[in-house]
Amino acid sequence: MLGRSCRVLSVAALALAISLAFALPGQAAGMARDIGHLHALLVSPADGSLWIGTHNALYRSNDEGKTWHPVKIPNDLGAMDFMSFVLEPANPNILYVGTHNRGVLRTTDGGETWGSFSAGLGGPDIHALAVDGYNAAQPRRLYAFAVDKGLYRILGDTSEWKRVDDGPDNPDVRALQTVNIPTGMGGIFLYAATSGGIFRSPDCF
Amino acid sequence: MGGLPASKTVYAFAASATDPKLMFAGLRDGGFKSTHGGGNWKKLNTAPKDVAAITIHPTKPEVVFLGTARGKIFKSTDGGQSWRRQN
Repeated sequence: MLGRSCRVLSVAALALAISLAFALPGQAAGMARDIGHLHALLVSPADGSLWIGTHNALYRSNDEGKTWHPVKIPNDLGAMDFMSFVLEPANPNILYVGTHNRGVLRTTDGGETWGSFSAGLGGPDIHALAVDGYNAAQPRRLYAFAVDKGLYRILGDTSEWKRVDDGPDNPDVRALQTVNIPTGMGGIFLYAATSGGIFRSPDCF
Repeated sequence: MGGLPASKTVYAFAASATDPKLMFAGLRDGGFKSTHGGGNWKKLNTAPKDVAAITIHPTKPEVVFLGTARGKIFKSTDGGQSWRRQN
């Protein structure tokens, strides 16, 4: 009897060893291997976790992308195509996400709860977000590029977007980022990646 | 922005928070790196193609994550010289 149990255990152990040997990274239980079309990545300074925005979902990885967990977005927000991320400089638990169809979403508790943060935006398709929190002497500047609508900004702790202008010369914006390189005019630069290359503009207007 | 392929879409862009002249750009042709604030871009020969997203670690500028349009994630720990597939 003991011998049979040992054989059963040996077979089970062998099967487990084979399955582990052939398992691919990211194939842990309950986690889809294919995350689909990817749009955005962000490393959180709070805990080093990796945020992943895709065509279908928002994911978070605690092992640098090997495995990932879907982040639950309330159904009533109806968001799809998570296009871009930006973190609040003073509080990494506050994360803004640009979506293809529902403007900007915001969490203030590291992803546990979400709400819309789109008041004032001219359109729902937000391809790019950026933040300038480098200068403590001025209000934090949050930027969003709305497709076919232009560049929007929020200053300080307000929550309504104001239109700035049309954005870069090539309006097909794929990414935005403020870069802490002085313009010589008291500000820094806002860079934009587009279908026509990279543009930059002084972030001081 | 010399060194990037002309008239091609730049899908991804990232600049280091700690070293602002260090930048990465992602195109269908692959990954590119500038250490001159957006000038003199160099192609990263070992980076994958179809780059859709790039992010630089907030405190370790030598650590870079890259995502492809098909959802593959890569990590570099040497500033983009070599890449390891994560998923």
